[in-house]
Amino acid sequence: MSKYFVLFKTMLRNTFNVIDTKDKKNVKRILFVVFIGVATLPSIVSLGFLTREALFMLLPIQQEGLVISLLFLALSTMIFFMAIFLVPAVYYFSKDSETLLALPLTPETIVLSKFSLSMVYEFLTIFVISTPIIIGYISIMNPNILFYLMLVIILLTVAIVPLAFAGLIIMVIMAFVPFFKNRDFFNYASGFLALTFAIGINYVMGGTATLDQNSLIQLLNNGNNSLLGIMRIAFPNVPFAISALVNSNILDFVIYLAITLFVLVGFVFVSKLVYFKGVIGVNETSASRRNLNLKAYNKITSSKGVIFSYFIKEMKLMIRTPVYLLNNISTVILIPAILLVTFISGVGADDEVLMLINSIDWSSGSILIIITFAGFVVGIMMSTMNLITVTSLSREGTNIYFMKLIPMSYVKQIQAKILSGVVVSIFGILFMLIPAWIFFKIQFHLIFFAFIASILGMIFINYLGMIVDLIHPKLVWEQETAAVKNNLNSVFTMLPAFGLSFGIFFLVQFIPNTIGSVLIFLVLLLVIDVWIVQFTHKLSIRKLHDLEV
Amino acid sequence: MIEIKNISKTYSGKVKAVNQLNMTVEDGEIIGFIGPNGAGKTTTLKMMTGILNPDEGEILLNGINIQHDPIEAKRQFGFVPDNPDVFLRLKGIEYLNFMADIYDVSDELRRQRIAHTADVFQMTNALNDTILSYSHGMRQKIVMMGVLVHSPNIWILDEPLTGLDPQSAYALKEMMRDHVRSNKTVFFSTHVLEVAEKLCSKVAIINKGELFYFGTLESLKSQYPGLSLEDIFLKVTQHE
Repeated sequence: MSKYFVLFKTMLRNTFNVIDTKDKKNVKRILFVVFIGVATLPSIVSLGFLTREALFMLLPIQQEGLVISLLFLALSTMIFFMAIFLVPAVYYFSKDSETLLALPLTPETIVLSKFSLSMVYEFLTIFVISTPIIIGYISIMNPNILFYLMLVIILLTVAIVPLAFAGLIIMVIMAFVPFFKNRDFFNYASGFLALTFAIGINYVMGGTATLDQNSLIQLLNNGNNSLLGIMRIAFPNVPFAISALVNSNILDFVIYLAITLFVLVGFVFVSKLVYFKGVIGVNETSASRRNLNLKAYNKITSSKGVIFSYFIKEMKLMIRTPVYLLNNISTVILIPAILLVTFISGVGADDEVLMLINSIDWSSGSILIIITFAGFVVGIMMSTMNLITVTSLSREGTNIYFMKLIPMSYVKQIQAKILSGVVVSIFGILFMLIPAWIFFKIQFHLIFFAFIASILGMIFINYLGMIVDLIHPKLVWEQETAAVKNNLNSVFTMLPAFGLSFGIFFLVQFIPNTIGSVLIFLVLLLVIDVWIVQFTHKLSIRKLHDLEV
Repeated sequence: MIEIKNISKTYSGKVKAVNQLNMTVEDGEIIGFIGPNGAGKTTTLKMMTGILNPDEGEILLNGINIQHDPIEAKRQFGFVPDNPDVFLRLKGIEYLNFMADIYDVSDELRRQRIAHTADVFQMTNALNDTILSYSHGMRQKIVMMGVLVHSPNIWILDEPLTGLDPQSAYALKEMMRDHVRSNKTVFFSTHVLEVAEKLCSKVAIINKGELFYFGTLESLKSQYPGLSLEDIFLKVTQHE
């Protein structure tokens, strides 16, 4: 047990570096976290108010316990799905795996330490989601002291069962399904499943969008209903936690703890049997070691020109790194696919948005300004969502020294990097505009204006992304995931992009719908683009020269 | 030719990594850059290659100042870093071709050079695999091949022999000798004193950021009669 504590403490220190307030960088980091906290505050507060509204609606029908039920079932489900992606990264593909295997540690010590680390990761999710709902609940229900005591213990332990279940599934898969042991394959497969799941959820939600509140409550409350029923079976301890809190039932609380402990012990027992079987050799990569034939050799070794060759290198590295592919490129397909699926699944339903869309005469020239502005918004959104340019320096990590080593100007290098973002953004724009053109039967010249505006918006966002990454590149990371997913640079392009989109929609009503105003808008965008391109080039020379790794 | 004039580098305003370093490496010389861990070797190499900017002083490569004319200066040398984990998801052949594109090497010449170096380093059947699948030594070789594909005048190598199998280490040492025979320059850091002893025309010993000695081995040994290079090295670095 003492080895477990030593290992867990070391992992914790390694993951969350001790914050030294004397260090300027850490002060910056703290300010940054505070900024993000303040930015997300409105969503958290509104969740609290939503809980109060729901309670006012549920109290008359004596269903106030539903709020607690939904909270804990939602928490368990969320943690389970997050853990399905977290467990492989933490238990199997993390860089420390091979080091730990060489130490005289039992599998259960390693697994339990990693399990505890995952628990710490999940506490933030639990805290952010449950705090506003709990505050909303307490403000109306005024529960007794027993409720608070049980609540704290339940919140601290609720992640155990979903994490253990996810861990069990992954450990068994890793031990007995050999091809999942390839990290890249695993990431591609799990990413593909997540995308399918997201599109599927949208399809299902498209069909249920018209449910009113009463029938939703009926659906949730119905003992035989599928969703809650499945969740209750999947997480057998949760119903007891809910009953303990809602009815102040100590016996149910004890049963909750007993089930949780039982699952944890079972998890540790299974880990003892299967963890080593899966983790040994997990970071091996396959190689063919076959000679190239002359034709292929000559083809690969033909010159391509400096910028194009650099661009090809960027694209290859992105496509071949599953985390980058899924985060950077998949959104370009996912967002249009979700919109299309939502649109198709909503057809025929009594949907107000659909009726509104149908009421517009898309072939009319009178909506020129709206279409142009919409094109601009599509351009900036599709460029913001793909995260390619905004992480192009961060993705280099400590290898960024290579940029300083080669006889290629910094301007040319960032042009090649931006080009990769631009190409993917253009695909995203086309995936949005072509279906819109076909489905809404928009006149060609209108869609042409939308396309021009989208390209100008796309150039602006890609260069803005590069500016953000030049000013604040995240170069120190262990796993590729950190370079894109845990990189808050994307927020700095998203905020202006969202602001710009809302601003445009606000302004559109005041602008006369003439070809003249559209042209002025496009010329203005062009001028801004020319300025931002020149500014970025100057900035890149200064920033990359000063950058030291 | 490498001219290092009075360069200094301080990290975070506190730690003086390199202090007032002066050195001139003539054409046709192999220089072994030796010193204990943290002595300032890698910092010096990074300043020579433009990865780090010196706080003061200047570096000229074949007469070209890397601070004033970085692109032309960078064309003069090839650099092998101590960590060869670059572009791991590119295939070996793709990496080499990328390097050839960056340095404007003609198709014919790059094909010749890749085929030759792959043969020397026994990498021919690994070229079509991703660098990720390579061992540390193979990664070291592919980075070295990336330098050889553009055949620079100056080689700057940070621990180039670490991780290489005996055959490849021998081949690389022979290549270094051939390179200086054609009146070009090799500057490499190493911890292996025997290598420095057998290979180098001059050694540079650095300790705590200061250049302790720069000259021929014979001259150094004559100052410490009866001591081996290892003894001398230990004596001067402990003495500091």
